[in-house]
Formats: sequence, structure tokens, C-alpha cells
Amino acid sequence: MDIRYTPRKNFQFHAFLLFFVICNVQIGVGVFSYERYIYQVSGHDAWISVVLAGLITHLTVWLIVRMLERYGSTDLYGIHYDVFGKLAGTLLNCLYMLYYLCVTAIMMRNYVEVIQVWIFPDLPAWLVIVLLSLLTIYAGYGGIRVIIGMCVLGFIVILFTAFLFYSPLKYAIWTQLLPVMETDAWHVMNGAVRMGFSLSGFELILLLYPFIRNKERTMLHTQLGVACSNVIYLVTMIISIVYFSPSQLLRSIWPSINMLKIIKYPYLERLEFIVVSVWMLVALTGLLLNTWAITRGFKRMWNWNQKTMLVIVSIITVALSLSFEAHSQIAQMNKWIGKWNVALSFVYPMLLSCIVAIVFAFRRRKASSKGEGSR
Amino acid sequence: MSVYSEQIQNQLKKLIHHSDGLVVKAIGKRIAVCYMTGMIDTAQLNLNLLGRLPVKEHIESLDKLLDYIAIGDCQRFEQLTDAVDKLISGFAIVTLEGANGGLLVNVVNIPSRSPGNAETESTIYGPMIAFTESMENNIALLRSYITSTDFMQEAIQVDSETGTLANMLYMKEEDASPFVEIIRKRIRKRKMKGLIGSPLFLQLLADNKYSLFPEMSLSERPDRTAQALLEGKVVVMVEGNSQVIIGPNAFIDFFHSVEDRYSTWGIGMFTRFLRTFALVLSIFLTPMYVAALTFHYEMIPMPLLEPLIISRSRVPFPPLIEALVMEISIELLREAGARLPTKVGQTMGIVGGIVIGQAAVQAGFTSNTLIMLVALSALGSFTTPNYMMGSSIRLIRFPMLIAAGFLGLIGIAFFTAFLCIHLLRMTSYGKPYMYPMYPPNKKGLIDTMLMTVPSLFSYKTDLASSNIRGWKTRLSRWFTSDSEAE
Repeated sequence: MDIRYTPRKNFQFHAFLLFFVICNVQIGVGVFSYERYIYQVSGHDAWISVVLAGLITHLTVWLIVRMLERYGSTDLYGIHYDVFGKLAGTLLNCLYMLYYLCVTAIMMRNYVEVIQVWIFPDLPAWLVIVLLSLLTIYAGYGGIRVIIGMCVLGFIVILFTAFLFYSPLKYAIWTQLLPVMETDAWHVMNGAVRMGFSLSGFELILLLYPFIRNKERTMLHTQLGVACSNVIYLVTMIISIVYFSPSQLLRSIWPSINMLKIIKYPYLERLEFIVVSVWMLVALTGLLLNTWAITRGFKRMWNWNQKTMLVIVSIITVALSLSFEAHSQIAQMNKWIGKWNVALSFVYPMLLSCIVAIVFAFRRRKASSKGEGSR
Repeated sequence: MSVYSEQIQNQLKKLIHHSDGLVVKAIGKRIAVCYMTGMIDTAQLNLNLLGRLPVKEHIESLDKLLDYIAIGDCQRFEQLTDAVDKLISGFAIVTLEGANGGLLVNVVNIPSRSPGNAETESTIYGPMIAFTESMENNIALLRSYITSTDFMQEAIQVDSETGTLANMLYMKEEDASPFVEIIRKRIRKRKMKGLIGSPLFLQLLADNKYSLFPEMSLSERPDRTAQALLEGKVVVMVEGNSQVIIGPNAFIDFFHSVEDRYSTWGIGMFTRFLRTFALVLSIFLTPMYVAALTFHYEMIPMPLLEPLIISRSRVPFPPLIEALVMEISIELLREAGARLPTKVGQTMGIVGGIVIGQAAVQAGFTSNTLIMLVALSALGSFTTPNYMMGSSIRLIRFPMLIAAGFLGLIGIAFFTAFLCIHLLRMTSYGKPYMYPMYPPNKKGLIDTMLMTVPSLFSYKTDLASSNIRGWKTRLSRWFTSDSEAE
């Protein structure tokens, strides 16, 4: 495997499209339910946790993009091979691919659960899961540019849904935000760590980087994407704090959807039906990007056909997501994945960027001493 | 008849397999004129060819003979076998005893009608003239719009038994060369039995044969075609067809009419928005009705739900069947109207519409509300300026309806996602179909959606002239070696 890799020009895309990708992959299905998890630990200061987590995300993205810029044009799989050698690199790559597999499965299952709870209680889970994976395969066959096209579409859905959150604001009691900083710093920090599950996904930039045409703009657009999803998370968090009473928020599993129930037009009400079903487009982008990341790994390491692997990966995800039945199981899985999210999206990329910095400094010194030696 | 002319007649008869219609006229002893009856302009032949050839004088060579003929388009040929193709397409052959080969004289006169009004793409403002079946006339019409040396015309021969001739037209300076190259390649690689209609040709040129939407548009309007040429598109014209093929086209191009530019910017913009709205309406209106009344009663507020339920109370079918019955009867009306002569068709439409609509409600087959919704969505699909696209939109309504009937809003979302992926995957001559929505282009979006004043004067705002690179196309196996991707 070549460490540096430049795809053909007709697979590349412009850096500003990263904005849509990052927004979609970070928001995903998690935005429906994250409020309660944070509120459980940080109380009404949960929005501070969201801000904190957002700042950490910005920092992580900065480190990741700086690391990628050092290499020029490579992805995570290439970096692993370069830094840790073939054996350890392969192991780490497999770990990431396994992680993405689990993320895909849990994402799928979470969305199906939302459908089952909010729209069709009796709908068999396998039907929606199979339909979703069929869409995944069909779009995945179109290649990375189609996947990013879906992200643009998903962003439009997110944008229009964001405007719907104006209605709950009419019932807001702003004093529920006060007093600020009542929760101690430790719990706020804890809430920020819990945000990892919702905010993760931006590390896909590690894999998308070679496909960007104007790489010098990567930093700007990635940071903008992260900022956009941070704003959306912050706004929904604040709205849910001021809209729900504390005990109500602690008891609702999907606060974001609950808030949509208040919207009422003369010709339409219960907008959560429409939002939940249209959210398929947003959920799909997450599935697409994650499965693409997995198949990319097979392609990079063993040069296996991405299309065949996509079908196999989809079958495995279907099987995996069908293995969870009850809500308690899914919630437990979410918690478990949340820990891995923090580890593999935040901590490890930071660590890796430090290692890469050290390795590069070491290599430069070695090269310069060699240069002197030969002189 | 002279001995020489009989000799020629025998040779030619053998070459056309003793088919009737060959006329051989001997002029003097050494000259023979041959042509197929019915395909030639008799007045021209008599006046400028037969009447001028010398009967008595002795002529040494074909060059001398050429001086007598008062027709510009004369070609030399060496062997009679080479000339037969031209003979059967209406040329006259003039041969001279002792000379090698002969002359082909263009006296072709294939029956054609004179240009009439555009019928499938009617507009209120602007030129009314439409193309006819004669390719020469069509090109002349186009040249009357674009009098420029940059207007290129390139003949392409299709490899088929019918030997249909096609022409590729493009503007040289607008950099249409990648598309021209693609078209050349595709035509060269394809062999087919017969090629009569330009819609068939369109399918031959398409990137993806299994797509739901048309990739190129057919037009019978010279002004629309000229506009497309100025935008940098390539026009393919097939002999014997009044409709030309314009490509590459983006999805949004099918919803633009030439009239948008003819009216003031406000009206143009408004009609464009109206058409987009009609598109959404015609795809989603009835499925939403079916989904809401089958699964999601909660979505409809009480004051609206009441009349809906009352109008549906006598209907024994589930909403899906009810909607399908209505949609299919509308399609039947449309098809019947299209097949019948114009006058009968109109009566059919009125009678069918009123009688079936009214009777269906009274008989308890459908509800009043649904009739209104179905009629609205049918109207919406007819606002599409391109008939092919309108048909595609009407077609995709049915799977959408069925999806809504089985899975409600989830079904609609699923099929919408499928359509979006399909549209994103599509290409037209290797260009992304969803441009300028995806890949997003700020200038393109403003120009196509908003119709700003500068876009009225500049044509160079479109897909073809943009600097985006061609996409990898999923071509069928005949074109696998196309290198257009790069």
C-alpha cells in the first residue's frame, strides 16, 4: 500500500462540500435524544457542557487537519502504516473499521427505534433496516460524490427542521437557565464527555482528506461544519432546557421530537411524523459515510473491490443491528459506543497527531544529520 | 434506346436487384441518364440536365460534359457500384461511353412539408416556427438564427441498414468538444438494424439506459435549439425527424421554457418557481393524502379532518386503491386524448373528465377531495415544458403512491431518498445531472433559479460552459473504453 494516495480527478470534490459532510455526520440521529443524557449529569448547565465539548471538537479538528497537512495527501489508514509499520498499522486499521461497523449498526438501529416508537409501533425492524441498507448499497455504488450529494440534501433537511424549533420557543421560561454554573465543574466536564457520542463522526475527515481537490481550504470548511453543528446542538439544548420542566426533560427519551409536537398549523399538526420520516435522508448520510469508510479500508489495505465489500458490509450491519431487540439493549449499546466514540474520535486522533509531529521532527533531524554527514 | 444505355441499364438493374423504378434515358448514342422515379425534381431534371445535354455533338470527356449541366452539385465517381447508394437516395447518374465512371447530379427532391407552428412546445411569445422532417431545411432555419462562422455542422453516418444520416451541430468557441467527442465515439461503436426516429437516437446516446428520467431533451423549436447552441450544448439532428436532440442537459433544464427569457424577469422567475412548485405538488400531493388517511390521521387537524372523513365516508376502498383508480383513469384520459384526432380528443377530455369525475364520486368510488388532488397533481405534471420529463414525473407517481400506501410517510421518505440517489447518480454526456444543485455552484444556482437581469443577456451560465470536470459515467459495456471520464 502506498502511504500517499491521490485519487483520480473525477473522484475529487471541493473542500466546501466538507461543510455539509461534517454537519450531517455529526448531527445524525443523535440530535433527537442527546439532551437527556447531558441533562442527567450537568443539570440546567448542560449547555455549558455542549459549548465545552464543541470547543474540544474544534481543537481536535485543528490537530487532525494539521496532521493531514504534514502528509500532503493521505488518509488514516496510510498514516497508521507509516507510523506504526505494517503489522500494528493493519491491526489499528481493523480496529477503526470494526468501530465504524458498530457505529453504522447502532445508527441504523437507533433510527429504526425512533420510527418504531413514534410512527409505526408494529413495523418489523428488519423491514426498515433492509430498506435502509438497500439505499446504502445503491448510493454507495455511485461513489463518494453521490454520497456527498446526499450530504448536501441532508443539510437542507437539517436546515428546514432547525427553523421548526422556533415554535417551542414561544413557551420558553428563560429563568430555567438560571443560576448559571450551579453544577460543579466535574459534572459539567462529565456532560461534555457524554457529548462525544453525538459529536463524533467529524474524524471521517481523516479518510476523506485525499479526495479533496483544494486541500488548502480544508481547515476552514471543516471548522465551519463543526461550528454549524455545534450551534445546532447548543440551540436545541438551550431550547429544551427552557421548554421542558426539569423532571419532564429527565423523563423524555427523545426531547427534540417531543418539542416538535407543539407545532400546529391550520392544515397540519404533529410535525414530528414528517420530520422523523424525512430524517431518513440525514440518517442515510451517516450510514453511507461510515460504510464507505469501511470499504475504503479494504480497498486501501488489500485492494479489494469496494462494491463487493459494500454488499458484504451491508449484510453484516443488517445482522448486527437486528441483534438488538429491546430499548434497554440499545441504550446500553449506545453507552458502550459512546465510550469508544470519545476514545477513537477525540483522544486517539489527538494522540496520533502528537505522535506524528514527533515522528516528523525525528525524521527531519535524521535527514539533516545525514545530509551533513554526506557533506 | 441506344446500345450503350441498355448496357448501363442492365448493370444498374443488377445492382439494385431488379427492383422497379429505375429510369434510363439515352441522350444521343453515347450518353445515358439514370435516376429513380419519384425521388427527383422533374422540372430541374428536364430543364437543367436533360434539356441541356448535347444530342449530336461529339464529347470527348466527362469534364466537357460537365460544362453542359446547369446544376451546381455534381460529383465524379469511378465505379457504378459506388454510385448506387446515391442513386437510390435521389441523385441522377450521367454516364458517357468510353469515359471512366460518370457524374452524380443532385436533383433530389424528397417530399417534405413546409414549416408549421410548434405543437408539442407551444409558447405565447416568440417565434412560432417549428422544425420539419427535412434536415436541410432545419439547418437553414437554425442558420437564420445564428449567422456565425463558429456554427459548426458535422455529418455523422450511423452504422445501420437504413443508412440514416445525422448531423451534429455545435458552436466552436463554446468548447463543446468533449461532448462532440463522446457522441462520435458512441455512434461509431454502435451497430443497429434500423434507426428511424430521433427518440431512438436519444436512447442510443444516453449514458444510462435504465434511468427513469430523460438525459437529453427533444425539441422542435429552432429558437430553443439556437439558445441551447449558444449555451454550449451539442445538437444532434437526424434526417427525417422534426425533433432534434439537445444535450447535455441538467435536470433543471427540463423545467425551463424559452418563454422565461422572452417575458420580463419577474414573470420569468415567477413561472419558474411555479413549475418547481408544480413538480413537488404532482409528486407528493396524492401520496401524502394516501399516507395521511391510511396511517397518520393525527397529522390532520380536526377542522380539516372532518370534511375529509365525510367525503370519504361512502368510499368502500382503502385510500391506496381509491387513489390508484383515479390516477389510472386520468392517465387513460390523457392517453386517449393523445391518440385521437385533435377535435375528437378535446371532446373526449371534457366528456371523460366531467362524466367520470362526477359519476365516480356519486357511485362512491372516490371522494371529492381526492378528485381535486389528483386533478391538481395531473395539472402540475403538465406544466413541465418538456413532454418526456412530464411523462417521467407522471410515471414515478405510481411507485410513490404504492410506497405511501404500504409504509406511509416512511414509504414516501424511502422512495424520495431513492429518487434523490438516482438523480445524483445520473449523468448526461458525463456531466452531473443535478448541476447546479449538486455539485453546488453559487453562480449557476442564482442564474437558473432566480433569473437575474444579467442572465437575460448572457447565455454562458449553463452546465456545458461551466468549468466542472466530467464525471465518471457508468456507461454500458459498448462504451467501456470511453476516455471521457478524465
